[in-house]
Amino acid sequence: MGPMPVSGISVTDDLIEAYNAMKKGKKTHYIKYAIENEALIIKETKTIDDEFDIKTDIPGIFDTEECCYVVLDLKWGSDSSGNKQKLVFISWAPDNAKVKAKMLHSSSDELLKSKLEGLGAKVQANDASEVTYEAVLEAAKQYMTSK
Amino acid sequence: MERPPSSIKDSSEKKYIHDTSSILYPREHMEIGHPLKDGMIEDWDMFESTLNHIYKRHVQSDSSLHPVLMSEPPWNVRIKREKLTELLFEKYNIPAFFLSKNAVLTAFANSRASGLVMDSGATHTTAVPIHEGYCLQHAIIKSPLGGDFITKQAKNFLTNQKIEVLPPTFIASRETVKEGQLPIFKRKELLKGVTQSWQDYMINTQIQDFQSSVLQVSDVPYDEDTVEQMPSAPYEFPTGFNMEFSSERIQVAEGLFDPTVIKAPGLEPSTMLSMAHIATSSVHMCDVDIRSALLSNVIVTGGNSLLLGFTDRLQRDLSLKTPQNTKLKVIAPSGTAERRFSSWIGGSILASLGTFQQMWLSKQEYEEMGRGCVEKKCP
Repeated sequence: MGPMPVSGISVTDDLIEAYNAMKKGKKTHYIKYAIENEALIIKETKTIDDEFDIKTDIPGIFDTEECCYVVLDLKWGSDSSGNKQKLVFISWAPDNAKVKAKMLHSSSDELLKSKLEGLGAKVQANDASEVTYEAVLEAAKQYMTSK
Repeated sequence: MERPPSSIKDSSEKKYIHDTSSILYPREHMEIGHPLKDGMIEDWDMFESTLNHIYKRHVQSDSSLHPVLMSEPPWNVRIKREKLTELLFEKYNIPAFFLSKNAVLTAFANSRASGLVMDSGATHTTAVPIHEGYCLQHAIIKSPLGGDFITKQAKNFLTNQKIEVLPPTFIASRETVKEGQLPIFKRKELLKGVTQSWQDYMINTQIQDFQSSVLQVSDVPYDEDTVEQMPSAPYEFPTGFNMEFSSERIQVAEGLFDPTVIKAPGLEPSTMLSMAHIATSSVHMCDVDIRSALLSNVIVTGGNSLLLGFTDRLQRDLSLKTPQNTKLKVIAPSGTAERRFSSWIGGSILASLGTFQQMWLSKQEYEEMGRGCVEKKCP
């Protein structure tokens, strides 16, 4: 148990397995986790077979009124500078969300994160300006240099 | 957590009267008191009486049937936490308990696991940094500049202006007078034996009404010229005296943001921190890596932050103290209740979650481990 008040929500094996498969297979753009009826579920998965442009499509993952956690396969760099890639955990809780959802989200955040091994960066985002490709990349780089 | 003041009758047999409405009624020898000091339980006798009142009048059910979650200030001490745990399990026979830091509950209710909680309440203003759900104890900044300080400033101002402030219940009759003219009224004869602390409480309540209706924080540092252009606000006192307040609206509250203007006996302005300074001092005591996360999540809470213009001025002053490449974001819920009771709201949601039921410190655990268990389960 963590030293903070936590919701006690359970992180079931299938949630962790999906993440591990993403880490190994490198065939997933992102996994979106959400809390529904006080249970943590996988809301959406985008694989390389789906259409997804990392430069433009990140904002579209996030709803303006619903909280979620997204593990994103973030890629940057160019052929000349060397391509880079990290799995980034984005904790999304918009200010327009209902207070119960916010509370549940924040008090479950650490429980989920701690079960996902090998995350490259962890980012907290609360408004649309924080979930563009540039903003996520910037926040992720900041996280990586601080660790 | 917002606490109703309690009053005590000081005699061989102490009797307590609770709730903000019942203490308005004059009673012989009734002193006004508060069970908390510096946010921590100080008077345990009064605190217990408050609990009895809450169970009897508000919960209206047996205490053994309901788990209890309480919020506490982050600087609460082990001995008081253990005493509280023991009291609730032994005397009230509660089935389960949880103790949570108020700043963390506030941050969570605002959907932040990291951020700086700026809490401007009645007795003090504090900045508490939260990092991934942890309260960074070493970097907490506390200042005595809060709502009670503003009430004192307003009182000084009104006394200097020779404006008499009395609550409506102290007045027998009054006449309508023109703006700025001396009031014509008759005082009610007060019940013999009412105490000074009760009269002060009644008068302060009236000043607080003046405070919330008239006072405003200037959006830029106070200066005569800009203030002259401020719209004035009318206010009528219970004595019938009424006038338009203009630059005075701003002057009284300016001390929060610029302590050099404070004129108050016992307060040395040079040792006081402004609201923005409280926030930045706390941030600077934190690791350099998390400072930008704190500044981009400054959460404003507490009743005193409801002063008109408080958040805008804080935002402005902070932006001047924040490095250019750092994003600054001040979050302030607009609702009065959200601002005054943010930790209560957060705590009540947490406690009602089905998934939280396994997190409680149960009576059985208490019986096995003793009162020290609260440090383990709710650090």
